This record gives sequence, C-alpha cells and structure tokens, in this order.
Amino acid sequence: MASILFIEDDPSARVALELALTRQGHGVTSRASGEDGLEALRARRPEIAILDVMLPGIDGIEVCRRIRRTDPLPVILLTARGDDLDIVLGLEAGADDYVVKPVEPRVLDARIRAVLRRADQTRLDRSVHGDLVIDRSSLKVTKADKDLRLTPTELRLLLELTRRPGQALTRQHLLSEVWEHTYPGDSRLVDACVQRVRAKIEDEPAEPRLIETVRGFGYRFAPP
Amino acid sequence: MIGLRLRLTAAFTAVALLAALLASGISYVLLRRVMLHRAQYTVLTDVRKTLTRQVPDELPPDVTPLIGAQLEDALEAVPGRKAAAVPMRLDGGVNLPPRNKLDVPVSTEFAMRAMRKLVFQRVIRDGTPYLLVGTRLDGYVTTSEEPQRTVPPMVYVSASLSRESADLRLLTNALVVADALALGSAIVLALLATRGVLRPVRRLGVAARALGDGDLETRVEVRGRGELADLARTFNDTADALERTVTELRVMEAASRRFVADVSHELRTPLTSMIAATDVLAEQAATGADGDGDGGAARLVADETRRLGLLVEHLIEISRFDAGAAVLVLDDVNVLDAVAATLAARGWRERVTVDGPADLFVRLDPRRFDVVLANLAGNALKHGRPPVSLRFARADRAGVEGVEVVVTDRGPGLPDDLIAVVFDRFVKAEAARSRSDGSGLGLSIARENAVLHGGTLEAANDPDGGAMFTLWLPAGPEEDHA
Amino acid sequence: MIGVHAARWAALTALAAVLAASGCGIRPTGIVDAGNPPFARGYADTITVYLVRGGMLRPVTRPGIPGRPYLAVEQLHVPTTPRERTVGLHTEVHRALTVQAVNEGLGSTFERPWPLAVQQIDRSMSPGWSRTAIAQIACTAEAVPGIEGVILVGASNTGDGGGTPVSCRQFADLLP
Repeated sequence: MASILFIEDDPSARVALELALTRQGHGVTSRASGEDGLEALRARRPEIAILDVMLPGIDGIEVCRRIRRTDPLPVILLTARGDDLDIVLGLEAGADDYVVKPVEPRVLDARIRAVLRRADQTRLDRSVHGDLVIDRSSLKVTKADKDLRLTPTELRLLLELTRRPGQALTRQHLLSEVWEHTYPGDSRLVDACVQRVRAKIEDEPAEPRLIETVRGFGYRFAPP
Repeated sequence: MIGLRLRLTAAFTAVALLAALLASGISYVLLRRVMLHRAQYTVLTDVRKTLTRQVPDELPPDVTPLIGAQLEDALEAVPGRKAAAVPMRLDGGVNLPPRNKLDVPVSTEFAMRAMRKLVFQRVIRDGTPYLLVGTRLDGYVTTSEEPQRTVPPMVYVSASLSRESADLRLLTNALVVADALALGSAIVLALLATRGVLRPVRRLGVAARALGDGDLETRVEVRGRGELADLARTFNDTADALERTVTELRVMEAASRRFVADVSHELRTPLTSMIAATDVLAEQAATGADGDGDGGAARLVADETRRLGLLVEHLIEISRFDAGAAVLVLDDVNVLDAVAATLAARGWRERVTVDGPADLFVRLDPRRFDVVLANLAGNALKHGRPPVSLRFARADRAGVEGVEVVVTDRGPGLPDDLIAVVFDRFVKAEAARSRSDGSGLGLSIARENAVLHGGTLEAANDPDGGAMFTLWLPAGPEEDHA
Repeated sequence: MIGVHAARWAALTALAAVLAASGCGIRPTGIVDAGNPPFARGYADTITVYLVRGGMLRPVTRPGIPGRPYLAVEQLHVPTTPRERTVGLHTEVHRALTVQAVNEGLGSTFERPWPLAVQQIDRSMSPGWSRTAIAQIACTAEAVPGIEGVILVGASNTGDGGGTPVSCRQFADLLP
C-alpha cells in the first residue's frame, strides 16, 4: 500500500516487522544502518521512513535530521528506551510521530496510515490568508507565491487549524484528528509540529501571528 | 545574621559606653576631689594664716569686739566668704554666731568641735554648697584673773563653693557631651567592626546556602587562624565529603538508570520481533489451511507474548519511577474528553457511566492520566460488578485547586485486609487465581502516576457496597492558567 | 551561660551603684578635723597708755594689736587690768573714744607728725572730760609714734563740731 523505508539494526526485529508490515500490504525496504538507509532513500524514493533510534554509526535521530534537510518525507521514530530525551530530540529533528517498542504491528500500521493520510480532498476550495495561500484541491501551500514544502503531517495540521479560523483547538483534539491517536497522547508531538509549521509560514517564527498559542488550551489559527 | 550583628554591635557599644562612663566617672570623681581639696585648702590656709598673723599671743584687755571686727574684715576680703568672730566662753559652753551673720547656721556640735580643733564641714544650703570653718586660737597668753578680757575670739567662716559647683557642672556637661560622642562613634565603629567580623560568617552563610542549593563545588577561603578559620576549614571538609558522596550517589544513580534503559532496550527489541512474528503466525494460522490445531497454539503464543510485553512494560515503568526518571509531560486537558477517549480506546464506553462537567480543564500529563483511568476502570470492570460509574468534579484540597475522580462498582468490595495493601506491587484480589490477566503492577503504577502529579489515589469501600477508588490531582501550576 | 550572664549583670549593677553613690555635684560632709587650732603669732608693738595714780599720770605698757596704731587711745576707757589695779592705777576716761588721724579727712594738710582727732563715740552725751582725763588722752596719743598734739572734738565748752587742740606739754605738771 505504501512504500516504506525501514531502518533497524537488530536482524530479528527487522525481519519480523518487515514480515508483519508486508502482510499489512506495504512495500518494505529494510536496511541495517543509517548510511545504507540514506542511500536507499535516494534510490527508492519511499513514501515514509521508519527509523530505529539506536543504530550503529549515525543514529536514527541524525538520519531523521538529514532526511528533513532535503525531503518532506514523513518519519516515524521507533524507540526502545522510551526515554524522554530520545523523544524530545527526535521531535526536534523533525519526526512526525514515534512509537515505543515493543510495538504491535497493527498499531504501527495505523500510525503509518495516519501519517500518510492526505487531507480530505473532497472539499475544493482555496483560502488566502495574507500572502499565505492554501489550495485544498491541489494540497499546495504558497507563501508570497513560493511553494512551501510541508510534510503530510504538517499539511494536515495546517489544514485542521485553518479549517476553523479563529477557533482554539486543544492539543489532544489535534492529536486525535491529525495523528489519529486513539489514546490520550503526548502533546509534545503537536508542539514540535507547530514549531515546524511556524518556521515555514510565519514571517517571524519567534513572534508567531498566524498560529497563536492559547495558554491553558491549545492553538488557534488567526488570519491576518 | 542580623541578630548576631545586632547583638555584637550592642555588646560592643555597651562595652564602649561602659568604658567611657567609667573613665568619665572616675575622672569626675578625681577632679572633684582635687577641686574641693584645693578650695578647702585655700580657705583653711587663709583662715589659719589670717588668725596667726592678726592675733598676737598677748592681747590688751577688752579688745575682743575690736579684734573680732578686724578679723571679720580680713576674712571677708575674699568674695563669697563671710566670717563671724564670737567671744570664747571659758565655762565649757559655746557662743554661736548670730543668725544671718554667716551664710549657713552653725550647730552647737560644730561649735563644740571648733573649741578643740580647726574643723570644717561642707553644707548645702538652698542648693548652694558652702564650706563652714570654725576654730579657736591657741598659744596665747592670758591673765589668771579676768582671763575672759584677754582671750581671743573664736572664728567661724562660711565660704561659698558655688564657683566649684559651677565648674563641676561645666565638667559634667563636657563629660556628658564627650560620652555622647563616644557612644556615637562606638556605634559607628561597632557597625564597621561587626561587619568586618561577620563578613566571614556571612561568607560562610552564603556558601552554605549555595551548597544547600546544590552547588557542591562551593568552598570558602580559609583566612588566618582562630575559630572562624577552623569553621571555614570544617565547612570545606564537610563540603568535600558531601561532594564525594553526592558524586558517588549520582554515579550510582546514573548507572542504575542506564541499567534500566539498557535492560528495557535489550528486552524491548526482541519482544518487538516476537510480537510481530507471533502476530504474523497467528494470522497465518487463522486464515491459512495448514490445520485446525495450530491456529489455537499460535494465538496462545501471540497472547502470551503480548502479556509478556505488558509485564515488561510495567516493570520498566515501575523501575523508572523508582529511579526518579519519570517526568510529567503536561498539557491542558478537558477531563471529560480525556475520560471519553480512555474508555473509547478500550471499548468500555457502554460499560462505564460517566458523570461530570463538560468544561473542566486541568493541566496534567494526558498519557499518565489515561493510564490511571484505564487502571481504575479496568479494575472495577474486572473485579467488581456493573454498574461501574466514574464521577469527576472540581475539588479543592488544602486550598489547592484540583480535580477528583471517583470510580465505583457494585461488586463485593475490597476485603478489609486488602484495602491497606491494594496499591502494593503484585497484590492481587484473588490470590488463589492461577491465571491473571494483569501484571499485578497496574494499581501501583496508577498510584505512582498520581503521586508524580502531586495528587493522591485512595481505595475504600463504598458504604452502599462495592469498591471505591478516589483519585485527586492538582489542577496544575497557577501561572499556566493565566 | 546563665552564670556568666548573672555575673555580668552583677558587675554592671555594682558599677552603676558605685557611680550613683559617688553622685554628681558637691555633696555635704560631716564635721571634719583639719588640724590643731592656729597659734596666735601676730606681731604688734606694745602700746603705752597713761593711767592715773594719785592724781599723777603714769605710763603703762600693754600689748598691741596689728593694724591698730591708735589702740592706746582707744584703750583709755577700758577698766584697768587686775595687775594695774594692784599697783593703784586707774583711768579717768570712762567712755569709749574714737580716734582719727587728721590727715585722713579733716581737709587740712598736715605734715607728719600730725595731730590726732579724738572724740567720744557716743556723741549724745557730753564727754565731761576732767583735766586729768584730757592729759591722759593727750599724752597717750603723743606716745604713739608720728603723732604730735591732739584735737579734742566735741569737748565740753564747744560742742559745735570744732576741735580743741591740746598737747601733752600743757600737762607737764601732771607728769612725773
């Protein structure tokens, strides 16, 4: 269903998850190291990358950072430690989501599908917010006539926020709508993603005007 | 620190004041004595000299008034002095000078004493001090018949000491001014000196506070010798020891944390493979046509692997609490939404009745809140009987805003001996049960999560029957609601 | 600690008591001896007083008093001493006299020796001096060094404030 780049150094985990994901209908390219993975990325052009954090050589977070430099490819981190430091670093590096080992293949599949899911394309409209133009039919976002390269998650977050301009949305609401988390989850995912979107659409990311933080609540898209 | 400084200053000032007062008191007393002695000596010498010079050893008859007047004139030559000469009685009695002749009255006793010796007395009259001198003459010749005609008179002199008194007042004023100045400068000096003395103490205090705040490399400079230097040295030694111990503890703590992290990593990775693989196996068995018995076995392995995974997860979670590695990821959460999400995610929506306000927002860690709610609801569903109800409301405890969640069931309730230990690890309601779905750590983890939030989790039996678990969490730091 | 405090307070209290006792200003004393009475050692020339025995003038010496050169005249009215009485001496002057050297205020300019003005202290009564008394006055006065002649003020025959000059020489008949 989706072509996945899966980087995992542990052979049995790699084989087992590759097997399981393949059974879910995905095309999986698995690699054992970050270097090999980055090479495969250029060769295969996958739709999504799943990275184990602890890798020999360059680790999963560094791989994520390098991918982000060139590509709006969605990234899911696979962490065995569940350490907050790993998660924070991963989110700062630009990961869209993370799962903690041991993970059930079904859960991983759901996350993959959520991350990959394109925004609802049935509504054909185009909204203009100052020099920011969001074209919902072509799923293109331009700022001052320049195309912005948003990851699918970032795009979905922006669409979700702009769908109801001026209305404050809680982080948990965004988590379930954008990330499709069924359990109450880690709000840092939202915060990190908002930071990335702001970096792309705001004139002054340090003083955001389009996406406002509503203290004690969540976020709000404020059209200029 | 202020108290010590104040006391030192007070003591210093008191000592200085005492010294000043003592010095001025002593000098006052000495000066007064010298002054009075000199004044008295002058008067007495004058009297003595005048009498000696003016009265010859032999007198012509009946000149007593004459010579008396002459003596009075001579003795009154000095201002402030008054003199009275009275005839001496030879019958043992005394004549007193007429009233108002002198500035002070002469007592009979004084006159009697003056008959024998040159005597004086200081007398205060109307606030003015006087020196009263009285004497007779000696060494004169008289006749055996009618001796009283040729006896020289007795003489009384009153000398005003008002000048000495004024001088003493002047001296007193000067001393008072000097003492006041001494007091003032003593206070200033004391403040300066105590600041100097207390500076090491204050430095020690600052260092101790810094040490208390966790700056373990704090040391104080050891200057000079004496008690303060000893104290500084002791402080440094203590800080050394503390730093060593804390460093060791930190190393140990870091090692144990790393161990937990390593263990979790080492366990989780193979578990990931096992879960993924058994999942595939179970699905293959369920859908494939390999045979009938294999499907059950594969499913069993898959379930047990998942349980093993849960147990490992719980163990890791508990050890993270023990290591103090658990941290809160706070978010502003609508309690009703969170409860609904927790129940919906586990398919319990129909089995638990929820009651609470829809607009209650609390700042907490949503993942941990979910864990606690799932544990409480799951526990009630598993061990109690329906209907299971979950009520929540705003509740303040000890002035702290918070939210209270009460989960009750209509089951038999908790046995009395279990209530006290229900949150302990690996405590299960039915000890005899050979197979349990839970890890035995669920309620412990729930309680740890509540405590991590600064809240409480308590177990009790509902008076109406059934178990009742009460969770209370603070609403979060005040500034986050601003 | 308490002991130290107590001692400190005791010391302070004692000190305060001492200071208070010594007090301020000059304080009265009892009667204090200051040695033996002074000796009478004044020096004065003896005086010569003319007394009367058997109608004749007799010079007698008596002790003088410092600063009283004319004491001899003032002594004339004093009753004779027991020793003088035993040799039969008496005085005819009965009332106290006052003397004044005339250079000292009578307005006249006299060269030394100058006369001595003598009058009775109690001027309300007539002096009633006898001749012998006048002789006594004149001779006693002239026995004082530096005095020559006497001016009797308020003598019986005048009474108008003027003086009657007399001299011892006029009474040579009464002298031995």
